[in-house]
Amino acid sequence: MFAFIIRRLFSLVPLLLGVSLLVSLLMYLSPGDFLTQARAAKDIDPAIIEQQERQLGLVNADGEATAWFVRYGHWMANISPVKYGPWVGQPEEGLSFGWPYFGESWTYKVEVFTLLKQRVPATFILSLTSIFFAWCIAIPLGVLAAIYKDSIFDRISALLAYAALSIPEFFLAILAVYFAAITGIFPEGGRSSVESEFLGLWARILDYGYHLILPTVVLGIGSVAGMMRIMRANFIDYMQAEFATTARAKGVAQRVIMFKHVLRNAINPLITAFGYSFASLLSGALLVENVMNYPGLGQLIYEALIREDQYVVMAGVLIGVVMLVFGNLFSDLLLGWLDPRIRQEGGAKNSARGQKANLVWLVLIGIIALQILLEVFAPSLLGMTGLVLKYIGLLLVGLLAVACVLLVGYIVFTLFRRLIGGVLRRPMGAAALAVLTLLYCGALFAPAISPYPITQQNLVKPYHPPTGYAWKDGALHAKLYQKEAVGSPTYIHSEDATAPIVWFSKSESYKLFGFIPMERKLFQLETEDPAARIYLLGSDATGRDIFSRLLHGSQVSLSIGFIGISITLILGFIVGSLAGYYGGTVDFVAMRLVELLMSIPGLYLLLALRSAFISPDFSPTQVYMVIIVILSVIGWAGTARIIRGMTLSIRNRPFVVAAESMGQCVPMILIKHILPNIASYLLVAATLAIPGYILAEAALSFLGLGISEPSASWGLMLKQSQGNMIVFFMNFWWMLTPGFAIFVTVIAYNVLGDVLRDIVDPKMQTR
Amino acid sequence: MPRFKNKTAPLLLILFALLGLTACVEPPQIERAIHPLPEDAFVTDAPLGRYGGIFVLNETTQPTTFNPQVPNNLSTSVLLTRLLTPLVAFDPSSQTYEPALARSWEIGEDKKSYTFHLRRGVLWSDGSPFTADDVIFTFDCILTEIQDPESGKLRPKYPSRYYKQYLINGEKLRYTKVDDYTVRFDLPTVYGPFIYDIRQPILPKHKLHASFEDGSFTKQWSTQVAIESPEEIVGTGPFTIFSYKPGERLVLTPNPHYWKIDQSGQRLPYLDYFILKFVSESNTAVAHFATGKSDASGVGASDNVWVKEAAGTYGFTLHDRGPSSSVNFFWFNQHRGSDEAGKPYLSPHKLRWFTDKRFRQAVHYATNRQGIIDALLFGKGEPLTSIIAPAQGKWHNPDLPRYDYDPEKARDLLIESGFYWDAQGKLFDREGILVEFTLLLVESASFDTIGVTFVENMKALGLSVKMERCDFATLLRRTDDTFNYDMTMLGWGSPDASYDPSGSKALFLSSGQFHQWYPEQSEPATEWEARIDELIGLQERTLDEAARVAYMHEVQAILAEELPLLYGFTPYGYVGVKNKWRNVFVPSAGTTLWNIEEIWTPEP
Repeated sequence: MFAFIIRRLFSLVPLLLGVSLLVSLLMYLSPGDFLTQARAAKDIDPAIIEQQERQLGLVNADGEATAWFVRYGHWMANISPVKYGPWVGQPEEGLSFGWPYFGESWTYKVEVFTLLKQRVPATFILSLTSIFFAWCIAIPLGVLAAIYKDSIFDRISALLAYAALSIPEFFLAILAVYFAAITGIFPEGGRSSVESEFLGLWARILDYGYHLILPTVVLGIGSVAGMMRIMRANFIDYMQAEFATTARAKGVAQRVIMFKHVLRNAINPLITAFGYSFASLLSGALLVENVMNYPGLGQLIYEALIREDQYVVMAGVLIGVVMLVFGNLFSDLLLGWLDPRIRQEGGAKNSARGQKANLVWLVLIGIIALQILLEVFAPSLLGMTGLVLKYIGLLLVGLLAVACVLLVGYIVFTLFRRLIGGVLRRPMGAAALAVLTLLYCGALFAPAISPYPITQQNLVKPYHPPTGYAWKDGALHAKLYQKEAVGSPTYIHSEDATAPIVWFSKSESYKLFGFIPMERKLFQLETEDPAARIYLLGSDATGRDIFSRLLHGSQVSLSIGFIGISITLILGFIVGSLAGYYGGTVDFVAMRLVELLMSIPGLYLLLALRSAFISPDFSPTQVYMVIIVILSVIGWAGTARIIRGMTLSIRNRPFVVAAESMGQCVPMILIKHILPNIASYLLVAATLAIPGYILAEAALSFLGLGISEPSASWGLMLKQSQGNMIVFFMNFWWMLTPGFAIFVTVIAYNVLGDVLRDIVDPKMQTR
Repeated sequence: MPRFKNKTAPLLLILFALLGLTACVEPPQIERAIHPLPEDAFVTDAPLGRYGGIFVLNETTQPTTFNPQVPNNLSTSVLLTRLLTPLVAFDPSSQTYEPALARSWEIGEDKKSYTFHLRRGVLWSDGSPFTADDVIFTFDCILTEIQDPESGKLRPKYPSRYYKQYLINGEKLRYTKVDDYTVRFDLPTVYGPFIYDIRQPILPKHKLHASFEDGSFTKQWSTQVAIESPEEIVGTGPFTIFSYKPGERLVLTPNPHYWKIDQSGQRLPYLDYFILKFVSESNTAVAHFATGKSDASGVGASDNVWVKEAAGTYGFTLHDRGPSSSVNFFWFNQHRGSDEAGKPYLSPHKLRWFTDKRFRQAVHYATNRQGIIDALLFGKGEPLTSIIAPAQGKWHNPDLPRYDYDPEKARDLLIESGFYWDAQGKLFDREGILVEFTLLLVESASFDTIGVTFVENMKALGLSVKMERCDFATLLRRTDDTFNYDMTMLGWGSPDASYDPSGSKALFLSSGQFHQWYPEQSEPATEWEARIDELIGLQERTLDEAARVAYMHEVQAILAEELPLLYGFTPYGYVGVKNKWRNVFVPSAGTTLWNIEEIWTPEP
């Protein structure tokens, strides 16, 4: 056991090296540095800047910019407990030992380590409590749902699980803060109350606990649904397992079988996932901490990333990775303790991989060393290579997009006809499909349906409530409203102020689908007064029609998932199927890469990539494209892992062997024999993964890093409503409709995905 | 081991324990009147109060340092005024400079030397005496120069933004210690705004001198020091640090050696504790206040609508501060120069439009600023007419043209200037060039709304404006270095209650760095810019305040007519303070709690 722990800790070293190198590279790629703003400000003396540059190590003694890898090397040398001087921050000559030094925070002028020491406990405890909260809810619910399978209870809990899965975390956090502010039952954010300053130790701990409740619930609720599903499926599986039957035959009480035999087995995957759920909670914590004002690691790293406070970001992300690895270690130990079978397997498998691992790391370090050498001796060569790589990359992205469209076309063509009947026969499936069709039609025909252009303001009618309707003179009329008084947020409707709604009337010209010129819109208000508008879903702060913006925003929000998932699937398929097909070293390299990607908390990687590749002068379309690519680059890892597993099991089937012996080439085999066999799975996976993209886009826009004005997306609209407490306190509920739209879409996708899975995989049907 | 029949029993027990503990633990009592009062104590004229009370204030930004000489943010410098005091302070209620650490001062015959007499008997919060050495040390920290080992040039030992402030006409300010309680400053020329500039927080020599010598001065008084050993940070301000928890709160407690007393001889401040609670979102901060969880808060114009409804429930009053001291403005690039390759920064037709006064006026007339105020601020704001906000009292010229929203007038002006519209309503200039340009904006939600509205307004006038976003640093680089922009917008917040036009001299002077539309001109490009240069020079070289104000009024009148800056709007400021606090005087600008030491409550 001890050797196992030691081995695990050693495996941490290359992972940490890889992650820190990646983060450092990304920080270097993002334009500007910590002093950019100071440099631009004219009233700061260049002498100050120069001095600071030297102090921060951005330039060397000759005043030349230090290369990123040199800075990284210094940083690493400072961290290493074995020091060799004289070097930066290492005055002693020769070999010596010392505490790791993580560098200094440039903003706070404090050691990074002390800064982390202030923040890590808060986030660590929050993550821990949310996992346990999720377990406490998910396990009993999952078990009950499995025992009372297909009962009303099962259905209701499934519905609740969908609901929990579909609310963006930050939105839930906003609602929680509002709830706390209104009722006063819970503290609305913060980590401790002011009074706790003067309390004794125990009272202070209780006070911390009290402040933890709300963030815990908000953060934990998102993972409840997933865990519950796994729990339910496993429990059903093991209820029919042989040992359960044996026990039953021996006359063991049902209660004992369920809780002593079945539960202990069924809980395994949850424990296995402990480490990764820890990592994913770290990303979630960033948003929740920001909204709920909880002083944790997420807040710190986010601020540091924005300010380009490099060492804080690197150390913070490393802490995240360490937490993940320790989470995994802990879950392994827990599993070993719970499940004797695993205890015995453990050792042998790992040692066989050891040698190969060394090889891979050697190659990786070799590549980096080569690059560094190139950069040192022939900097222009590297620039050229970079340029060439960039164009190759562009070409690849283009090809990828084409390939994606082909793949999606293929899946839809071959599977849709086969599955559509099955989906429609199930009421849930039919409903979900109908909702999605409606939403996508809305997005496609947005210019024709929406009564106003998305940028058209109406400054005299901010926060206008949704319009009421009246039947008058044989036609549908919309009621008109006036402000109660200048400067008042409330509107009143006087009895006969209405305007008729006209259908398919002419309006300003626009292009449907981007190329069909049209002039007529679905409905318009017939009125002389330009300020009199029909607001189906009210208006926003500058009197723009929310309904129109919602429709146009759906073009972004709905398509981002669709395109993103196509790219993800292709990447995942290429990497996963090759890894599975060839096995051996290819497999090993691919899987280590996947692990590297999965071990960095997703949102941090997203933010780092975003700051490296998007500059603010991008047009909204460019931002949109880059966001899609980034999202899919992050997302493919999980898919690749699963596809690899499936390929592995298919590749030894007789038809694959037959194709091989007939001399078919590898791509052919992959596409003609393996793809069709996993296509249904891909469809299901895609359907279940799309919501992730929609939520990620919303989160990104919420942080102000996604789509920007004057374009619209659901996340952006939600952010705009959240940016204003007035929305809550004056009850402008219509400002929150984008949140509702996200909720509905995500639920629909999840339901559809589950129905599809039932159809595709008859074995799963019993689950 | 006892077993609980009822599973909830232990839980309830814990809850009761929590309630019991919160009830019985009182904050530690502050010991008063243990130290003798200073000989030269400052006696306030505020109504008498009683000791006690905890004042909780929400702060959105956290201090990055407690060392005033390390570059920091606005809230850090406000916070530092609680801990450290200057020689002279500004009193917003009387709008005058009043003595602080200096008991009095006199100006020499030639109007170039200032002699400050320090208060006797003032002690630092750790009990060490305050003397002229501390003042000299503070200015040493700013102005000491060392020879750069590489270039051989002299440069400040600890570069800070104050360094330039004390270079008057390129010459360093001279300061000498006359005796232990007298300091003399000698200026190279007559310089009106000196008393405004001299409000430098005085640092304790006995604490910081060693680090000043060994070069670690900027590392002193970091946030880490405040966490681990707050008693190291000593000051002469009303408070000292009790404890600091980053991300949570900073607790301040009275300085036992503070030099202000009330009329009955009680040493100020009255408060027992002054707690700054850090809330990263300004919305949350306002919500906290509106639900009675903090004692004071700034309330934005748009939040005023709902916050005031809670005033009765939670016992607070919203004080109307009137138009705020922040200004924002658009401007067109009028740079007439060209880059190193000889390519003009601005294409000739754009330069022709942007340097045309009538074009600028037309654009200004066509911008619906009142509309934005009505929509975004619920009417609680007003369009600006000058770069000097109305909150700045006497310096603001009240008789300026208002340029109210008038699209008709805008069209007339454009026609007058030779522009015309085609059948689609698009605007062309007299040479048939379509009028289109780009508006460069800093990424921010509030600028987005203003920008979007501006674009819509221009669309109605027939101008096509494209919006482009960038981060702040890029914007500054483009407006100050590369000049490749058409039009942009900036906000300008002056946090201080005291205002002096010399602070924004670099904007008015045609040779200034912040002469945004055409900075650092070698010769004034226009007659009116030459006249402004002249007026700024005149106001600086007189100590007669009425004359200075008159000069500045004329400067504003010229700017309003020529309109190089298209002013935006300013929201009305509101400040909510709980009713239980006495001696609250809300000034029209600057920090609300400027007299925190005088504030007290009858119900602690």
